[in-house]
Amino acid sequence: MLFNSLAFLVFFPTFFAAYLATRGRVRLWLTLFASYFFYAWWNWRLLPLLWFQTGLDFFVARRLYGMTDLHARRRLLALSMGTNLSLLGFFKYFHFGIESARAALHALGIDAPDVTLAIVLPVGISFYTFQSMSYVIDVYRGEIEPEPSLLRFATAVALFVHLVAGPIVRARHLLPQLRSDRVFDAEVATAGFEQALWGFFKKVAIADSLAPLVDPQFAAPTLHDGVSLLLAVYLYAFQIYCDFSGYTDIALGLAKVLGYDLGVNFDRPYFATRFSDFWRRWHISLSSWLRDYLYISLGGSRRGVARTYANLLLTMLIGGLWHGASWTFVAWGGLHGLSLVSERAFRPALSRAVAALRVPRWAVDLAAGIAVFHAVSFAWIFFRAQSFSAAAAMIRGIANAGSLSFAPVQNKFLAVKALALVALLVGVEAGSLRGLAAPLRARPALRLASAALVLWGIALLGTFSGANFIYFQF
Amino acid sequence: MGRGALQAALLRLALLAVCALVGDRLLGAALEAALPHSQFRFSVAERGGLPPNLLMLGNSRAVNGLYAPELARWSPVPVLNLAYNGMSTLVAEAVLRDYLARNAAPKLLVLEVSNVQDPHQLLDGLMCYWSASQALAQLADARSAANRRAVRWFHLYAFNGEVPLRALYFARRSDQDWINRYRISDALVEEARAGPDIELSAKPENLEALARIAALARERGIALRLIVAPYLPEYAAHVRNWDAWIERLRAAAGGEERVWDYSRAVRETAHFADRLHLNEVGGVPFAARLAADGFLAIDAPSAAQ
Repeated sequence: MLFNSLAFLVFFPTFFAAYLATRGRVRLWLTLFASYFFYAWWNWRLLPLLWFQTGLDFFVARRLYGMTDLHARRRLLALSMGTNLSLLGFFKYFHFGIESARAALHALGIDAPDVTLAIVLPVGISFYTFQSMSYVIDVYRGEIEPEPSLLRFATAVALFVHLVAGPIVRARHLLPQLRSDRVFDAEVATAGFEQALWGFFKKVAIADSLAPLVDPQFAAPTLHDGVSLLLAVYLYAFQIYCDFSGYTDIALGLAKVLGYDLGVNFDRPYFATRFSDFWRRWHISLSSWLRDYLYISLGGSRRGVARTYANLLLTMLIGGLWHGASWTFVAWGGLHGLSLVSERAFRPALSRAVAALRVPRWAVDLAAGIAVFHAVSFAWIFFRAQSFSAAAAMIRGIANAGSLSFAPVQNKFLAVKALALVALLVGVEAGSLRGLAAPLRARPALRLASAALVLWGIALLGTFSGANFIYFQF
Repeated sequence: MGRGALQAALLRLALLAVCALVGDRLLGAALEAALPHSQFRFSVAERGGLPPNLLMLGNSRAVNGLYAPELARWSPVPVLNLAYNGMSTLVAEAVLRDYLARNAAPKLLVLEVSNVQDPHQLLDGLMCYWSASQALAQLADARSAANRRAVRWFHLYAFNGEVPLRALYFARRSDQDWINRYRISDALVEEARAGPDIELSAKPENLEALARIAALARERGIALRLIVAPYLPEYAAHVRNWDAWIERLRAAAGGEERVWDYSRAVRETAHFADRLHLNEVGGVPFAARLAADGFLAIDAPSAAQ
């Protein structure tokens, strides 16, 4: 079930009314049932997989707690990690692995038979697997106690607002909130509704309006002029941001309406002035997961410079692969890894040079922000392109742009609309960065007018094709 | 949960709903009032009172293939290009009926008939004209019921899309000089050359609309010209059923109208913006050629091919 579907428009108010009318375990059962219903709406046959992973991690965590034998603890942890990663690997990376192996063997002169299975990628598997794994790791590390109630743990894993595309909510964050009935707070619910509304605007009015100027260019780069390709790259940066952060805002906003705080997943990432800053602002629940459970487990920055760089690179390569079963995603992660390594390596020298030249702080931040945005946009080419040859064609097309004329850009009205929407987004985020949102929130009339404006914007500018959220594929 | 908190939240929601609805009605009314004052082609037609003229209908191939400013140089009567990207024959019929309800019957109606292949998405694109256009509204009732309901609930939704943006942009100046102003890339030419063979098709409802347009033209004494505008030669070479397709269109139009087939009439690559559309460079000489061929002559008999 999509947040931007008519079915969800019926589902949520119905669920919410029942949610308000119930208490305690009944409310938990209702939430769990509704979450499974939400998931089953897409494909009920894959529910047992979710049940299996939930049950496995619940019982492994309970067994881990109080177990003193280190080897036995490790075996149990390995069982959970191995099973979770095997399932993720099978459903998400089976064909990728086979194809990569066949290509490698072919390069060695060996022709391996083609193996194809009709595998359906369970929507949300990357998200709920990571969420469930982090719970077991936290219990293993002794950072949290295991949850005694399977009902509560299953609800935390399956809560429909974050189930299919995150954010990846840690059990330690959500489980305590499920231990008592959430008290309805009008102020929090209003803020949640406004956040969901803004998220909906970002999805249907901005992201989906940019798609027609992005999809054809990435599908056939050789058939488009350089300026159209360049525009497509810039617009894709905003399309994926508005698509994913829009989804996240809807998820977080609806969670607030229900009384849950699921944290923050995006914090105006294109205002980042460092690559490390970007990753503290983009898909925060994933980047912090990778930091806490992968980068730090590898040794983080505690084992010397070379090892730190290697850890950074490996973490980002795996982060790239998490997004999809393709080497282009690995390349995207690798580019970000290299950016982070370069930043660590050269930033001290750059800082000294800037200080010596007495360049004003704002100019440094502006230049750094522009540089980071362009490097991130360049990396998006590999993220979005269907293949390396398509990515190369995009880059070649942009590099060979004869002039910066907009004449060959097809449908300039859509392009102008897209650029205006991007400007609106940047303006709103710059405003909130400068603290303009707080006074607005303090005035009920202004809040009401803003919400009405967003609704009118959705009616006027929204694209209602029922387009999927990009991150559903991950 | 405090009952007061829920009541407060519901009150805020109700206030937002009222505010949104009132604003929707006010803004919708303002846009609806502004729309007929635009110089955009559909607004000009909706405003009404146009004299007998040369009227052109069709999809983007008519927008770019029938370059109004150049045709106006050769035409004895004023020229109005009412074609639009993606305008199927069925939608063209509704646009024509609404045009005739408000304006004098054209002396000459030119229909670019490759739009028999098109789906009818433009019907939704023209939502902002539904309230003032009976034929479009009737077609929307039959073919776009969900959007018809949506614009009744949310008036601003009628102004969602590219057409209202164009109407705003052309508020003070005519859009009749609209044509592609760029040249096809070598890559596109190569792609067209290497492309697969093509069978041109026609949607049954478009063929039926073509028959009704021809009948309406006869009934109202309007000279009708059916034309197939030029295709890029490299693309046209792949079409396997030119003659049968043209004959099918001629038969659908009642068999009395000639189909002026210019599909392979322009050989210069530089005259195209892409495989389907002429550009400004091609539009100018093509208009002169139409004039030379007697295509624009209002009294000329529309002889069967």
